[in-house]
Amino acid sequence: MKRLFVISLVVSLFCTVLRAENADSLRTVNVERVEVSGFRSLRDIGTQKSPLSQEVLGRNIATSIGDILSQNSPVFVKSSGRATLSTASLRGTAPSHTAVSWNGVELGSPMLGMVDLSMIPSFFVDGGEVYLGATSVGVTGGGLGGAVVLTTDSKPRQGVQVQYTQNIASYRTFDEYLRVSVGRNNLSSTTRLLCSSSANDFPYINRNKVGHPTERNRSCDYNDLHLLEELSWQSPGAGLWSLKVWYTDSHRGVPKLTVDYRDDDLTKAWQDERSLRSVGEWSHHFGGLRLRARAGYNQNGLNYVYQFSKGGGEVQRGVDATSLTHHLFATADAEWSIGNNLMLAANVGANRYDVDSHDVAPLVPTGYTASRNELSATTSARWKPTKWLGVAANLREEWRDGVASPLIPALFVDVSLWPEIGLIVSSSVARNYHHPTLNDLYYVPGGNPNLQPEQGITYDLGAEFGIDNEQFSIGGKATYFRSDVSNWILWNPTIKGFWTPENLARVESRGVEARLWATAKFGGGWSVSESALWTLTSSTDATPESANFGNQLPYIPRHSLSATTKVEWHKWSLTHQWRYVGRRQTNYSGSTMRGGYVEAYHLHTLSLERQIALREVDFRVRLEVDNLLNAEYQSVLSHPMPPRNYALCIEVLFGH
Amino acid sequence: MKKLFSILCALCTICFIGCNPNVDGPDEQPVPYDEGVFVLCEGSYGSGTASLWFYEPDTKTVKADVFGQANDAMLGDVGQSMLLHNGDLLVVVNNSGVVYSLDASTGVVKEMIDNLLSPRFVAIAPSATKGYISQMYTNKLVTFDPRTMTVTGEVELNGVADGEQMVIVGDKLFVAAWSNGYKVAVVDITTDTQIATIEVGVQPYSIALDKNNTLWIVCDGGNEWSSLPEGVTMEAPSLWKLNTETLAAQKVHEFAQGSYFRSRLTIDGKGENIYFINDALWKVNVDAEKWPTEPLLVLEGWSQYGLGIDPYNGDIYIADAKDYASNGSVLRYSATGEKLDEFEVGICPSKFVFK
Repeated sequence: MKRLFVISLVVSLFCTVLRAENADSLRTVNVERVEVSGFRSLRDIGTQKSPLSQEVLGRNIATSIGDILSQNSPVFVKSSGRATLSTASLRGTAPSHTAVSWNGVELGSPMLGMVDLSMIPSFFVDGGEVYLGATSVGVTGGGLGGAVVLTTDSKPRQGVQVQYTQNIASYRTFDEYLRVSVGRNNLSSTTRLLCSSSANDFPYINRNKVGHPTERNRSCDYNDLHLLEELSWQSPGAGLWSLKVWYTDSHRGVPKLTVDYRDDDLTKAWQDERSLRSVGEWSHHFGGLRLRARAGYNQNGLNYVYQFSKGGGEVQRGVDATSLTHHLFATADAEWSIGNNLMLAANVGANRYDVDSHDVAPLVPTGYTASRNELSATTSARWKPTKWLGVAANLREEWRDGVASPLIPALFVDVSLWPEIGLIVSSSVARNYHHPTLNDLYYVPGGNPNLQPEQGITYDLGAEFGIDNEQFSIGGKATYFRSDVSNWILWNPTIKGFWTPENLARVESRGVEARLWATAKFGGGWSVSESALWTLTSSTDATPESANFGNQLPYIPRHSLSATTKVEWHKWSLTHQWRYVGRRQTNYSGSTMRGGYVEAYHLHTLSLERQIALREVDFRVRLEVDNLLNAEYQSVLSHPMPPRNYALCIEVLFGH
Repeated sequence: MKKLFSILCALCTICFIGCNPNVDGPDEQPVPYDEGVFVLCEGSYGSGTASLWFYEPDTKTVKADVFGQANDAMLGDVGQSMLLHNGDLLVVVNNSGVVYSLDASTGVVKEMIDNLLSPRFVAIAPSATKGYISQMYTNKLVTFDPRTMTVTGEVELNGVADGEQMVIVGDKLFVAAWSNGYKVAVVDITTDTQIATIEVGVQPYSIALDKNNTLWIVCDGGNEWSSLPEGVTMEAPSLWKLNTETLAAQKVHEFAQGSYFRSRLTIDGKGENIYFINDALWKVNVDAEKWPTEPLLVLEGWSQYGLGIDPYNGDIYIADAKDYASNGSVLRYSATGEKLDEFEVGICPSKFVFK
């Protein structure tokens, strides 16, 4: 018991000391334990990726996928608060350089390129992986930083299973989750429903205003509805068939700046989003041959409104921007294992996007209507000539509206140096391209149809180890990465008063990702696990003629660190999560002036959970304190984040 | 179970002991701002990065973040305009909906008017007891008492909305309405009623009053993306003169179609010459009968975003916004066009006020 207390004490003191020093040198993220066997499978030769386990996703059912990624992977998430735009960046690249998919559906907006992670409930994700750098070439195109691949479990279930979860949190936040699975023989249906609402009006000391008044977060209420239906059929001899349909209806206030001195009834902004994502999938194994085909249709409708009062009850819309996107897609994969040492794979994909985007509020409406056809083909070969050596190569080709990109090659190598401790050294290198978004090309006014794709060369070198036995396991991984991106697209003002994108900049990103995890089991049903991730990222403007040459890019922290400590005793578990995000610049100047940066911050979350198993029904009750130390912090300049807040989560499971 | 609870308590205690509330104080005591020029930087829209700087030409000293240093706060979102009045600096911050009254010697906020829809410019009546704030998205001017910085009422304009720059001559307030066509409104400030609407070129962008009480008006002519009312079409930019007594307006010069104004109209201390940037820096004597054949300065690039003329010695200050997303700079020239200095300021520098 003493030992346990000492461990907890050391961890907490370590956190506290670092915070007190305000060192701009650390950032951790909670990393799941990674199994290390001493040798990698053929499929994983040379890959650099972070898994998102079902355990983590299930534990954090009410947590946004952005927070889960921040805590469990090297992804840096920029967010203005709960239920507001959250974007992911990997290895110092832009949000549009991180591809995000869900069951093969590309979630990236064809207009903006990036994904709003706040619109992806973790309840709709059963597993996933973050592919870093060159590794993403085998998964998708355009991921100069990497790719986040999220999945749901398609395996047919048997019988009836019901999960109902009620999450009640501060600031009148209510989340209700329902999952009903019904399965018989080889056919099953799973329905998931999520209703989420919050006033989100937390109090905070507004240090950006004169006199530092205590105010409430304004215009941030939200109402989200998500519905997911999954059907799956395991056909004897004809593979697994599944269909997933995900509908979203969301209404969200757009937060006011901390420096906004106007009342809510004078100006107000909100965003409504309705989307439908559907994907049908077939997969089958024929001996060493694995085949998979997917096809689907997605529709996304967005309406952003900025409204102001003209007095006397009269209101007018300053912005009334609407976009409607249609997306048709199909992919086919084949993977052929030839013996134990060789694997060949191929993938083809096709996408068709139709976008209609307009702002009808101005006298002269802005916007555009555009379409794009995309084709891609990828081949790969993975070979293990000896037990300790693995090599792999990918070759990808992409076409946009019939115009071919240069070939995208990627090479991977693994060397197993010391199998007894799982010591593996791996490396990869790839050339990659990111195509301009439809807004970049066609937005009116300002779109530039002459833009060239952004071109990146990325490489990394890493080592990992792992020791595992029944009582104790420990593992670690460290990777050095570097990428050079040229033709980086920046929007710049024109003399006509609007902005236009140009291939202007060159950006160099380099850094280190280091992870460490350990678990220990003690007598009496006690166990302790610890995982930590540190990311050092130097992402700088490398454009020789730029006045900002050498400056860190905005909103890329040099250091980030996270750690998760979990103590379990029979059906009880106590989890402490700590996240540190270093100081971030808010513009390209590297300014040290007020407003030129946002301060580093530490966040602590503590949760206590109890599982109760009855004959037919299981219960899980969790009490969580978020921002335990009541830190005042901002993730995005002029946007407050919540102080210490509480959540009570009650889960009822039937048939599990 | 008790042991587990003990651990929880211990962890919490340790964490709270280590908690240092994030209390920021002013970095330094307010510094005096004597002789020099205030530079207002708009910042990036939507980020709250407007800033106020002060430059002392005698020592070539730049004092950054005047507002933040004096008030331990941020200036706001989109620093729009400013005006020196009776030792107070009135600073309009557009997307924060606020007008500050700062002590121009220390930068400390004395009073403020908040909850404004979209303030753009301020004008003060000669009596110094009444002021006007123009606003976007509305045809109403806000009236206020500059002594107390309290709102006293509003003036409704007919046929003109989105008021921009204002000039008061005697009892008349002239309001340019840039984004609403081609009109300048005239308001009687004794009754706060509109007494005339004068047609000029498309999108009167900027106005300045000379020594003869003639109002000079730059009209940018609009472009294909301007929100012009029905029936109004884009045209070549033009310069107009308005007789503030007779209210007669006449076009003085028409610029090349497609040329763009990068600064507002600026006048020297004696009201003898107007300055503006249209491709190059131009200086026009208000009494001259002929248009100058050569600009005062040929400028590189097109990121010049603001212009100031030192009323005491005629030095020229040009604000360079560079990429409009990172810090800009100010170039200082002598009255004859000799470069004297260059210094870095905040994002999107645009306005100058000399003290």
